[in-house]
Amino acid sequence: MGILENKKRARNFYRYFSKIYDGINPIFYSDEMRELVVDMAEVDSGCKVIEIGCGTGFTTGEIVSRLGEETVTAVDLTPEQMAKAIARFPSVNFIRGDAENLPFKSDTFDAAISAGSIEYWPNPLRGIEEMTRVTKSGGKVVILAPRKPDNFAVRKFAESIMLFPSTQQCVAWFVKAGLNDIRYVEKGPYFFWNKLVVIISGKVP
Amino acid sequence: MKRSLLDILACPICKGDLDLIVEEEGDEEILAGKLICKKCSVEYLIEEGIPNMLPPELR
Repeated sequence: MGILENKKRARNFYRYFSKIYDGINPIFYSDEMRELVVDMAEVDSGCKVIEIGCGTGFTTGEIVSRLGEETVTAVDLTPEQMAKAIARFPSVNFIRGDAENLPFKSDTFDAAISAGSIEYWPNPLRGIEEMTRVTKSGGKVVILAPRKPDNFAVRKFAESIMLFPSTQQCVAWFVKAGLNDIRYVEKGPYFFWNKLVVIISGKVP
Repeated sequence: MKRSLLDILACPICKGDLDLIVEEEGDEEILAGKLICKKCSVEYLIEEGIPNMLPPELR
């Protein structure tokens, strides 16, 4: 169990980390990666999209640039992180909520997106099942997860900080959640660090 | 929150429909109030326009 996995601990961490977060996040999460995340959701203007774990709004910005703000709903656990996203996109529907207990009716959204949040979920399968539940039939569920590092020493260090699921583990969760047409891309911000994350999508049957 | 959000919101615990009680409303948004689950009666506060839909143990 990594030190950031517990939700309350993650919340306390981000309460302070949010002050410097926007300076650090682009080092690990490039524009190209967030474009790919939204590409894989296959959404057009008019689509209703839910984003889980919006943080300061890094991925929200990419969704809004394609769909506008009105049809986007964003959930996060941490008010300090979300305050920045609210200031940037005042017409997005922001809600404080938990990934594993989504506060929405079933079959509500055309797509569900979550980038860089699953590593804090104590029960990732339940979060993916919730994203599947709130998405309409034919809609996409897309998750970006930090990948389990290939190098043994780096992997041990990374796992002591938070949960790093393997690509195979993510595929297994998507299958268990009942998603079809599962696709994934392993990607990184730099050519020398090109498999930092896995972006995975599945279609709601 | 916009009033229209009530159409898609549900109780995070039992997924029941919610009753809305408005305490303060601006031009377009509900600024303060609460959402109460019709099924399990758990209350969720709306503060500064943002509904807090966390289950009680995570607040």
